[in-house]
Amino acid sequence: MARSLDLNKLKNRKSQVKMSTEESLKDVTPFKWPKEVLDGAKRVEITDITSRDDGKAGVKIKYV
Amino acid sequence: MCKVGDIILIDHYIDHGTAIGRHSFIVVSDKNGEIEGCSYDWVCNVLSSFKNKSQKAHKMSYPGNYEIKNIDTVTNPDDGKDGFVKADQLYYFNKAKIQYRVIGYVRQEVMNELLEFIESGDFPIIDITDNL
Repeated sequence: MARSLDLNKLKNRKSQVKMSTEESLKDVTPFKWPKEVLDGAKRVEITDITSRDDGKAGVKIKYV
Repeated sequence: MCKVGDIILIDHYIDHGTAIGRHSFIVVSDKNGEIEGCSYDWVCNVLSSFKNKSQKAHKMSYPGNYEIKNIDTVTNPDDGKDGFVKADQLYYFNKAKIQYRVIGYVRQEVMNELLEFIESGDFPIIDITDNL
């Protein structure tokens, strides 16, 4: 059975990750900010509400 | 089950942002890993056939290309042509996200030479993660 390529041996070789902008952004949903925010009348306050008990991630967004 | 050295046909894949139809690849690693935050379970190189002598000379002028003779492979179907591997371009795949079939393999001695060529070659390595 053939061995696998040793990727550790390639670490010091010049390397670049090729991904197009289109591909990078394909699963990104732009945030629909309300008009007051876009106008600058209100600002966005984001609070991390990740639960320390069950590990569920989340944020609370408030317009102030 | 697919393993290192197998030649696979992938139905659709993305290459530098462009959708490409069916093409053959050689599996060079079947170890799970993560790159740029994305999980992968295969690393492959593109395997192409030479179209003619002048194209062969052109392709083999690139230091990252490695010649694979037809007798170095066992495939079905077999186009009877010699070809080359783009050894400097590593495609990272997640098996669950692609459609593929195994059509053959590279003989083990040649496969080991190819891995040695990639690992010790004097050319930059390009990681292609579009397909993760």
